[in-house]
Amino acid sequence: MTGTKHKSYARFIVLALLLAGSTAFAEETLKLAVGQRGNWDTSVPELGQRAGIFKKRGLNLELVYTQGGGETQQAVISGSVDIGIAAGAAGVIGAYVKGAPIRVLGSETTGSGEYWYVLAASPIKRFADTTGKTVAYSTNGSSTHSIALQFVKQTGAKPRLTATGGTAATYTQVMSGQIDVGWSSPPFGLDAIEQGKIRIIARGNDIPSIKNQTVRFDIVNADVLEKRKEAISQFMQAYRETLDWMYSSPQALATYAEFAKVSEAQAKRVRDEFFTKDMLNPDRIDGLETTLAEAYAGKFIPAPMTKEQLAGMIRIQPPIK
Amino acid sequence: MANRPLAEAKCLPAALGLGGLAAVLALTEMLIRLGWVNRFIVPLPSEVFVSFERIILEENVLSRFLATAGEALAAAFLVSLTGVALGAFLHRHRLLRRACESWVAGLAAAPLVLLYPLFLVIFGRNALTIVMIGFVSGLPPAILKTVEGFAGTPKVLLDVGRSFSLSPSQLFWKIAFPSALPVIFVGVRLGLMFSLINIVGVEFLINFGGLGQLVNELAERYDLAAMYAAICFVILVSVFFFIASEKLERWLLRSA
Repeated sequence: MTGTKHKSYARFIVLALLLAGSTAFAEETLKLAVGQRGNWDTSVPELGQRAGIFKKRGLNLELVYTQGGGETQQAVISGSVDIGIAAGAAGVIGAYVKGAPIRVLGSETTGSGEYWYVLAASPIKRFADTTGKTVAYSTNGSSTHSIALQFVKQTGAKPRLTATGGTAATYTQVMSGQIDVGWSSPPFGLDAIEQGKIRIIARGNDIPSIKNQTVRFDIVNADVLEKRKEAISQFMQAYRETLDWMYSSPQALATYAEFAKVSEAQAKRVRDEFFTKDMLNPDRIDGLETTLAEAYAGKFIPAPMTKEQLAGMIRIQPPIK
Repeated sequence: MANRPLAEAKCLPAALGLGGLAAVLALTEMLIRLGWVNRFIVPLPSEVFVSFERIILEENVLSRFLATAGEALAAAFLVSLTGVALGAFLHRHRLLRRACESWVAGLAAAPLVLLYPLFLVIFGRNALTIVMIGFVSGLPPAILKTVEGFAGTPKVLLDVGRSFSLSPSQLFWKIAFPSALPVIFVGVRLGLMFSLINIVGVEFLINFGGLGQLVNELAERYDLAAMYAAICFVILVSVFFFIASEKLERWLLRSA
């Protein structure tokens, strides 16, 4: 009788171990390179992971953060990560055309959350007042460069456009009076706005063509897409579900505020004022003609891209249940 | 003449160096073509070679080269002048040297490039900021090696000088300085390397002129071959300064 009881216990323990083991083994790990840590738009994997949304889809994400699109893209191309979040559209197109093993999983941002600002005491009220002044963008050929050029075209102002690097470097140059108009991406600069140190004079989304243009992509290594298609599909589905949660749950704001080290009020402001849900819809890729024209003009691609090339590059994974 | 050692032949070392470089490039080309090295991370050397024309004609690489070389030259001048003077000063004042030496060594290891916002505020958005970051970065090795060079002067040489009743100034210029010169130049060369790394780094970070900005732009465009070609120009700046410092060292040793 005792022996039977022991056997039952043993069977129970083995079964429990097997179940635990199967759960552990069922989780597939994906490595991600994510640009610009702390930005709302790039926080989808981080927040989804914290909320357990990716886990429900059997995924464990290993996240590494990069300084921007170029680094993210290089990590995906080299295969050191599987997926890249927020790679600049023109850069991705340029790399794909040159034969790099990357594919587009979806849009990361359509439109622009970036804004242009001046010192609070500046006489500049809007972009049209910038004639003869210095206006910042990050690097030549970047999305901020494209937006600044569009501002010039739209307003007829004749500023001196100046490449100033990232948000922190630009902020320093504006605050020390070396650049008249800086650029930034929230939440960077929100503190200064609230403290009345700087003032927004224009937003990327003020330009209709930019508002409807996909400026950053989520990308995947081509080999990974081919060999781990199911995991990638599950990732994109979890990505969509995370977005739904980010725009519906107050808990998402609290999680983001903790992650990005901002107040919940600032988190709400970033979400509601700078990034509408539609802007982050991964299934919406718009304004490709403009992006392709800019990529060609900015020497990202040596010749205009064909429709066949485009079809091969964009691999949006259909929604799954 | 026929028995002259190979190492002393005038052109052989240069030819061997160039031959070695060509062999490494050929090997790299072969490894990439065989697929053993990822061509999307390391471009084919032949593609890099071809892209030189493109970056010269389309990217104004020569004017950028001159901008970076000019900044490096200014920083090198400041590093040499200030570093050697401070090193000599510290050598003469033992207490000060003991108080400061470890701080200077600590400064050498500090990632000064990260202080670029401070330099931007002080010097403005211009080449002076880049020169000053290069100068401050290059200073510690020049100071430390100068101290080391003077400290290594054999006492017997100084004693001989004193026995000839040389003045302190003569002792310095005729004995201590020539004796320390090779080590001082090691420090100056190290300083130049530190300076150049920081100069290109800041150009990259703040997108201001020079080769660093070009490397940044080409990387963003995923134009790897052209980016490597631009990096070759950075190496060229380094080689140029290395050769110039060697010639200067020889000239000074002859003059002394």
